[in-house]
Amino acid sequence: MALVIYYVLFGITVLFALGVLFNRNTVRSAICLVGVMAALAVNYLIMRQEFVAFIQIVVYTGAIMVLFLFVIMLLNLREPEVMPWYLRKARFWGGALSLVFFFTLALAVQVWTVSGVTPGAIENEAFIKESGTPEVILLSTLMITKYVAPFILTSILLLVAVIGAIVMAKRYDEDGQEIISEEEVS
Amino acid sequence: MANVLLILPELTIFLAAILVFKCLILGLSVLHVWRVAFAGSLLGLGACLITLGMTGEPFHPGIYRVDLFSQLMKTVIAAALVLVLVLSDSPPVMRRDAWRELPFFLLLSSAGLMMMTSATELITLYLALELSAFPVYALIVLHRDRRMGSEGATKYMLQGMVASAVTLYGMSFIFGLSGTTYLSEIAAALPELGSQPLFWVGLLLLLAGFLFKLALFPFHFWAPDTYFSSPHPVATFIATVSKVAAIAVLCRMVAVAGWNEASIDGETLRIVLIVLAVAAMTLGNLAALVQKDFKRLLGYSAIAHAGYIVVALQAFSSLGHTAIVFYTIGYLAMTWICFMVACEVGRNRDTVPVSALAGLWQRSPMLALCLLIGIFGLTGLPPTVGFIGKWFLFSAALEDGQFLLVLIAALNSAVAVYYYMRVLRVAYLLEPAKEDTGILAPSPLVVTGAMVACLVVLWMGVAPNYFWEIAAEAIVALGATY
Amino acid sequence: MGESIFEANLILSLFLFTVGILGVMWKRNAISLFMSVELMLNAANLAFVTFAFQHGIIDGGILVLFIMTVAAAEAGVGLAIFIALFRVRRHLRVDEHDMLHG
Repeated sequence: MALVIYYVLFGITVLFALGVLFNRNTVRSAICLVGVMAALAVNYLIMRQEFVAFIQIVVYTGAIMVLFLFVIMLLNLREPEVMPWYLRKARFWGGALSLVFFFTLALAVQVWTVSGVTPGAIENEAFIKESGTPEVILLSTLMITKYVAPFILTSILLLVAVIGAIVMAKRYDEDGQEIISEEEVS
Repeated sequence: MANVLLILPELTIFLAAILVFKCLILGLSVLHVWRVAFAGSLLGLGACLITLGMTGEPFHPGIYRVDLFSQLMKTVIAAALVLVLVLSDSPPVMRRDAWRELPFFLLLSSAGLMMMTSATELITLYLALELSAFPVYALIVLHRDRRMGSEGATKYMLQGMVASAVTLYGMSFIFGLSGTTYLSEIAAALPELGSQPLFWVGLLLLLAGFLFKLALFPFHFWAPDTYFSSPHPVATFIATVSKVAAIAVLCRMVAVAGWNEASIDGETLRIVLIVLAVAAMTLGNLAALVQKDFKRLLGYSAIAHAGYIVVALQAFSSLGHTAIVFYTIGYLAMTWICFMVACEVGRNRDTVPVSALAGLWQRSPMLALCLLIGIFGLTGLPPTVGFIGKWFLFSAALEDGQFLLVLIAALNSAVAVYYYMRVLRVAYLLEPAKEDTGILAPSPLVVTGAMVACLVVLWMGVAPNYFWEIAAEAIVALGATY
Repeated sequence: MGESIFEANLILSLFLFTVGILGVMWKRNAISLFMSVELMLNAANLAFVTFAFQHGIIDGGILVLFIMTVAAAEAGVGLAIFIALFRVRRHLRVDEHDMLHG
């Protein structure tokens, strides 16, 4: 039963991903991307990664995609994506190469798992039960011990992103005076 | 306390950035903000020199390694940052309101680059890569010509993000095969992993982001465009400081994967690197032949130089790595000199066409002499470091028996002579155009920086022993880790 | 069940990554390109979580958390740049007609 649910989910993810690629309308593309992200969150739940599923929904669909949609709406990007890919040789060959890449690696994954070199799979659930601590506590402990350097880096990164976005979005007149409120010049 | 001492360089630069931010909030003038930033970068350079001999791991063991190699690279980064800041004193090519923010972003990006040279864990590497890139994206937008700035930033950012996403995907494969993101544990598991084709695919994907920063062949499209469309000091930063960190990471990754006796399949990686190097050298040099813009020309020359560096990288030997570290120091000085000339000549221009260099000899003999030294270095003529550095690079590949590759590289260097000499011909033989006949007078600080850089280029070219020994020691420290 | 999910998820992640690359190559609107990059990041996330699940370790969650932070920061910076671009050009097409070419 669980496997059936999983494969339905697999199909949904694939369809939404193709929707992102082939939709000519940017808003619809973005909505499809939301679909992919939500489906992935369910996928994480099936793998018993509750915390990851949770932040996938909150951060990706809740924050990032809303930002995307907001910008698309704000800029009023009505014009459809022009995509005569079958007419352009470079794009055709790019696509062909990507498909070759996909099938080669897919084959490699098959060979790899069949040849049995994979390390023994331990069920995540069992692991958490054994240690007797909730996942979030384990994760947060890991974050300030094993992964402390990336943790520090993310804090600086967010600072940079915030200040960078503010500096870029500020609007000034020629004398360097900040323009607080003004209609967009069109 | 000892741990704080180990991360002193990054900490100094980061604190300087915070201090600059504080000054921005307080509304201090451009000059004051710049002075604070400059003092901070000098302190950072001092901190690098203090920690030069130290070894240790300031965080959780295995995640962040401080050794002679990383500290040497950090010293080079800090020195280059000081040199770039020398040029960043209120550049007219940027929006006036952005002058104050420029040092802040440069400092933060350098902090990211410094952490990149020490990181020995994949996610730390990825985050440092992104941290070093974001401030630069923001800076390109702040070009005086808004259209050029935002288009350049969009192109650079999109390509950079694709490259870093590919890097991340490669990391996921390596994590999947080894169950860890620590380089030390991956190196320990290499005998087992080395027989897995997926591992090498993952490693190649992983290198993508760093090859992008280095502007090697399949990821080179950004270099000419970005150099062309960035404000001159920012272009200088991209061309000098960020290259060093990319080279450091490539050296580290190859030392992990390639030096190991057990990695028979390292040959695959080597063949790919050889193909990329040949493509980069040929493409960079041929495209540079027809360029009319000086910064664009330097962009293509950077692609070619990325190829030369990979020629030594593919040797998978400590000799090759030493040659790379040695050449990087020299390359940085040479490139900085060329960009310094571009900054000074293009002080009131958005772009620097080669024709703008016309009559440089009459307008400023000092700049013309610097350009001569810098261009001689990039061409690879004695007595500059360009010659001896390339000699080391190619002899590392020769020792490995790659005769054909060295032949191609040498032919490429010969082709390159043409367009480099064209620049010199314009600067020395042509009369200046009517609109820019004025005398160029660089500030005393720029002159000092130029003298130091020229001295380094010539000193390393005439007496390479001192620098070669430091580089060799650094590579020994790198090799001892894995 | 674990084994088959593992394999299928890897294929799925590869598929998402390929779609992302195709999007980067075919799309011409800067925002659509950016969404394709997000798809590639999601593919990497899925691979990290799947591999961690296979190894029975929880490090995958942490790694994904960091990647999401980067993605969020990237979205902030990237969209600010697009707005700056839109202000001067009134469109977001990335193609041969810009000022920069080769």
